[in-house]
Amino acid sequence: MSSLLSSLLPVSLAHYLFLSTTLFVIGLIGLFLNRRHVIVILMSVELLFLSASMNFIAFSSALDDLSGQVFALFILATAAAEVTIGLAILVVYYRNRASISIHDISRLKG
Amino acid sequence: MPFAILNEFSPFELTEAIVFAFFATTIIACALGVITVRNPVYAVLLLVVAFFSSAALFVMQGAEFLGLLLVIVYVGAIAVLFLFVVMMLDIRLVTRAKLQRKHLPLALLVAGLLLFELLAVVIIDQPREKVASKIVAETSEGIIVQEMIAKPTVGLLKSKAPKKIEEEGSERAVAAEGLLDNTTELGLLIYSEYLVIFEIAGLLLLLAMLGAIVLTHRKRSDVLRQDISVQHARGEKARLVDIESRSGV
Repeated sequence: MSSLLSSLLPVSLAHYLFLSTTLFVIGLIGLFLNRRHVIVILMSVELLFLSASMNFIAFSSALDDLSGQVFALFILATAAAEVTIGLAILVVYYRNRASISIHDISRLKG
Repeated sequence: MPFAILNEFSPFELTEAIVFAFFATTIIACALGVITVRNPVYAVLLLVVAFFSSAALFVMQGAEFLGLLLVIVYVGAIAVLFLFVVMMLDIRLVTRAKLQRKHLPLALLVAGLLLFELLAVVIIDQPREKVASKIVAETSEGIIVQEMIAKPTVGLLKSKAPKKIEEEGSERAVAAEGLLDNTTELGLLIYSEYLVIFEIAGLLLLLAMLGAIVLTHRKRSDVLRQDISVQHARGEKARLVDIESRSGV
């Protein structure tokens, strides 16, 4: 118990890295589990982005270097652009097909 | 007494640990909810909670500007966009039970491999960090260096911590802290060193906006629209008529 507490207690860089790793893995599992749900896939990608920017900010804080925060800002911008385009494509696709199932999208092949 | 070890840490560290544990648990639980909940509306709401908690963690680490930006951009804009789309599209609930069984082994395999690799990097890297901090502590003059490298927490909460650093008289640490807040420093950095990348990011956002508009815009045949070029091309047929009041056209 006390060793567990002593390993947990001063919140350090490793804690944030553990957290972001777990978050990344959860997002990855989400990608696999929801292979038919485009919207949930997009949300899983958002989780991946969040874990990446959490890593950047943890290192920026640990190394006392603001560049990490700048790159987290760029990740935010990229994620916003990605989700905008993704949802727009989804809306157009729904208008044409009246469904957003990935299964139907595969008919676009060839 | 198992909690005797708690006395070794300052109240500040204890509070930080409790806050971190709370928000980290919230983030993990909400992320699990996002990928397992059946109703996409609930998934979006859980995503909002996850982003909110990570914004709190960002603020805790001293990245106040990014934490607030996360709340504004994600909770304010992206989550609302998600909600709009989820509610606009008539999504039938995909039967999830079959899907999970089908892809779960592959998912667990890939996720387990990745988890192992990432955690291995973190764990293996830990002792090296401690050794480095000791070396620095031996070669440099004081406790300060050791303190800063061994517990690399900077930012908002550090200013509330006992002012050990200032008492030790490390002028650089004092100057680096306190004079400029996070937003100012970030702004100085963005508009000097990262100016070009920043502009490109802005351009990317503009393109995304234009792309979304172009993609979703459509001309509807059942709606009357004003066509200015046709109006201008009417020529002779257009004339000014003086209509008497209350007589109608």
